Amino acid sequence: MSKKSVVLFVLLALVFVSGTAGAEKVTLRYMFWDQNQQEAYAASIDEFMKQNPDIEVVMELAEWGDYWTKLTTGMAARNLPDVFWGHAAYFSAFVARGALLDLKPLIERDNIDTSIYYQSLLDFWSYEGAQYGLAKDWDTIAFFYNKDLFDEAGVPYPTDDWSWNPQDGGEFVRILQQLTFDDQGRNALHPDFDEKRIVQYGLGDLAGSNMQAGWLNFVWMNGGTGVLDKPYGSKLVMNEPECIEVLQFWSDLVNKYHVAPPPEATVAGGSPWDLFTAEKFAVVPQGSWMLTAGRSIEGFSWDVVGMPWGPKGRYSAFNGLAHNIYAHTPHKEEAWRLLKWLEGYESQKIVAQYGCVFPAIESLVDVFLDAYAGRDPENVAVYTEMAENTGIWPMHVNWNEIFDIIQRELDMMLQGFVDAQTAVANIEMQVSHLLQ
Amino acid sequence: MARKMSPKRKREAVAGYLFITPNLLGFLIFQLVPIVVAILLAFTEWDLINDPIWVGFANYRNLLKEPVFHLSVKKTLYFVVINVPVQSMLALLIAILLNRSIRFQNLIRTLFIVPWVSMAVAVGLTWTWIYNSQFGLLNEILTRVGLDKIPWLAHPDWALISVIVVNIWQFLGFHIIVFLAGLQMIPREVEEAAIVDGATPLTRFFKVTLPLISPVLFYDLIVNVIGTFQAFDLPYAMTGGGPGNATRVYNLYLYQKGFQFLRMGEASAMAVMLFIIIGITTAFFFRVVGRRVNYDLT
Amino acid sequence: MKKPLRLVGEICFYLVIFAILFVYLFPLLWQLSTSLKTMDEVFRGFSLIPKTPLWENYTTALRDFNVGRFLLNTILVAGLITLGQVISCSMAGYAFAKLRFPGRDFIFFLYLGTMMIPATVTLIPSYVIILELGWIDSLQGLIVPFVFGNAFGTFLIRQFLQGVPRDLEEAAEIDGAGYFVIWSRIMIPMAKPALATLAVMTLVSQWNSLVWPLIVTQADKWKVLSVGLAAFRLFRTIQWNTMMAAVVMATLPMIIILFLAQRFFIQGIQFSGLNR
Repeated sequence: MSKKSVVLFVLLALVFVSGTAGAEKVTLRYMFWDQNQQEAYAASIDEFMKQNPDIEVVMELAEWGDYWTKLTTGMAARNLPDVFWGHAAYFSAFVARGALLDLKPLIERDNIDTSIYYQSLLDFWSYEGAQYGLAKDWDTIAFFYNKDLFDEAGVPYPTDDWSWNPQDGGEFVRILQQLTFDDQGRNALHPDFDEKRIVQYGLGDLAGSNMQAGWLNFVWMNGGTGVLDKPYGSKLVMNEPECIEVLQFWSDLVNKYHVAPPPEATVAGGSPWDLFTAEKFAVVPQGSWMLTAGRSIEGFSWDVVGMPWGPKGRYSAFNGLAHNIYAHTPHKEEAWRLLKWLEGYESQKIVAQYGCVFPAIESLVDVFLDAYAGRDPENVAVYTEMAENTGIWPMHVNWNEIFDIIQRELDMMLQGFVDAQTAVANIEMQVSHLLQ
Repeated sequence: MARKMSPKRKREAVAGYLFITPNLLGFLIFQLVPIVVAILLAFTEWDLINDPIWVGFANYRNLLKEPVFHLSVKKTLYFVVINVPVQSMLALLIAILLNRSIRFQNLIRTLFIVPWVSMAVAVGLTWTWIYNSQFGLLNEILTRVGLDKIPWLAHPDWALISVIVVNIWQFLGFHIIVFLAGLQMIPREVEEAAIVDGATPLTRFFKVTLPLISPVLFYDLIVNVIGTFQAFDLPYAMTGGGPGNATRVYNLYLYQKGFQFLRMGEASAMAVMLFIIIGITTAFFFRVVGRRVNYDLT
Repeated sequence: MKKPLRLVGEICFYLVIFAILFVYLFPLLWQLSTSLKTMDEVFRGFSLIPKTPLWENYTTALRDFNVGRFLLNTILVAGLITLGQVISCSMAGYAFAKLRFPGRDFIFFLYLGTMMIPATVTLIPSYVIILELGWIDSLQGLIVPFVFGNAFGTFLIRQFLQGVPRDLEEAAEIDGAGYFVIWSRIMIPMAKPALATLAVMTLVSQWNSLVWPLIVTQADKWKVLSVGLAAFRLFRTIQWNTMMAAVVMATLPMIIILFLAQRFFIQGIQFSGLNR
């Protein structure tokens, strides 16, 4: 080739490369688990893509039951999404494997003002001096109840000061029994009540897996510590008598008082949420993240009430999600830009307007509450009250495996195969080697 | 053998190597190398993300201390001990029944292996539905005859045997065909001689039939045992190991250890131990049962 | 003309056999029946025959539950592996049966040895190899470990070809044919029954395979039927009728092939059960 054509070729190549580099779009994979929040985040991400035309974000929804397995196997395949939702109980496993990007240097470099968030939320994401997330949202637990079913049964709505105790269930169980009916219309307090033919349950969604919105709150309310002695602790404290008492109480709800169904794998009609909307359950414990799902309820009116008061007070699990970035993403800068946006004021405002989760930015709480003005549930602000008193969240590097074992054994207990004492003993036996 | 090869023989040898190359390649990369790697991996702790850490025999020690590991071994042994004899006896019985010059023999044989050509996952899901505690076919039948429903897959005491029944059902046809072929190898004259001698069907079975198909039976039993030890598809599709740990067979636990919890070292150690268990069982078989195998016909 | 009593006896015999078969295969009939019912009928009905067959269940499964994609993937993967195995094993089988080369018997012996090694042992290391090659969630990852053939297939072809007389080869060699030509023009046609047997055994085995596709695919793109179906169990609301439709679509193809190629299946099973 002549010198001239070489120069020409090189010039052309340069033009071509720079041309395509300029027009090159970076594609980011964004993974999350709540279908109810999909619309809100799609709106936010659309806005982000408008303001950042060089980035394309692909949203991937993975159901909660599958999410952590997907991420773990994704880690094994060295193929994690660039940005994804993190959960306080699970994220340390990813940190321990070097899968999460430490955001501290980026936060400092870009002078991110972290005072706009609830401080306790930020603390969730710090681990051994690094910071792996900002804060996306927070949630607490309360109870949804079906007003129409209460009206039909002639039972007054639960009041804010309703209570429970592990010995006889208290007011809590009494109310639920009046809302549980067999196919002859007898409620659970009736002497001839037939527990083999129940058509409506007072309470739903009791399952081993329902820890955050379920049994853990009750354990705290009875004075128990929780699952582990402290975050990242190595001692299982489920064997405290206070805890076993509560777990046995939960088992009693199913097997003694018959106000709730056992967690059978295939309950006809579907998931606990489907059954609530199908009016098969009168009351279900729900996190505030389910409020948006409640918007699609038709055919009955409903409201929320705070946790019933237990012997040691009233507690609710307080959790907050954050976005994490995959440590080995090829697009660190772009991922960071997306994360900054998502945890920033504008995005959280958009999401809050959809009313799906309480925004992590303190000043936006009212935007969220406004989204529920004039519609069920009236008492939506209850969730903010529940944030005042919370217990210790179990966090551990091996949480995935530990929780797998816990839910399995608690399900066995709820099915009535073992009592709470035995279930906890089984759990202890199987997790001991995971706790070191 | 330092004979010099003629050019023709050389060409033949080269051709030979060329022709076995694809096969050999697959064998080397996906059989030989993995066996070595499995043994080595078992001495490490590895989560696939960070580098493997050498831990010596720690995996073996830890596994032997783990309660769920012991449980999975027990469950698997139970599986083998129920599946193999029951399946083999049933298959032999049916094979004897079918072993005459009957019409439709091809159709009948083919019908028996329909479950065998079906996907274990598919079969598992169908049976999960049939076993459903509230609406399944079996409990519907039980209710209609006035009996109580049985929690086939929902109760830890029932789940494993329910899965085993499906396993027996699925692979029965395979063994029927094998035994049929074995029976058909027995010359008619031998049978007829026994009948002439006045032997009852039962005596004929134990003194003539059984010894003469013992080689086939023996080989089939070994292969069945080795296969059953590695049962995975049905438990995975039907119960995922539950309820609790009721159906957590060995390979299922191995899979979870490796691919759900990223403990590749321990999972590899489990694989090596399985190999050893199978080896010992096979050797045991050969020593104890092998003596009684009659090879006269061969 | 048979004695009436004997005739009655025979008829009874066949009735018993077919009754056994009916009960034995009932679950498959039930699966078909459920696949055509409405959810209402599924939970309430007790009949084998649905009132009006709901064919939409099949389209729902294909479209909304990705079964269509899984089906295509399964056809592709099982088909390619079968093709690869037939070619590779026929080549190796020919070499072991007819060609002489140093180390032939030793290598063959080694092959037989590996047949005894449980598949579990090679699983994780094979996964690691595919992982390091970056072939997770890819067609190559699904196919490569199997496409080069396996010991069973080679054994099958070798045994068969050993029974083929030398005269054909010798005649061809005199005519100046090279080994490749002998293989493709003589051995392959001669070995058709064995190749057919190998093909159907491999096809079914790969179509139904679960563990390997399970570990090498995560995203839906390359999932095969067995993996896709297994995930059905984890759904929060289980649509039994749609699920059964998917199940029927996963099993029917192999059943059809079974009936079309009965002879080869029987031969394949006999071969694996009767060699020593």
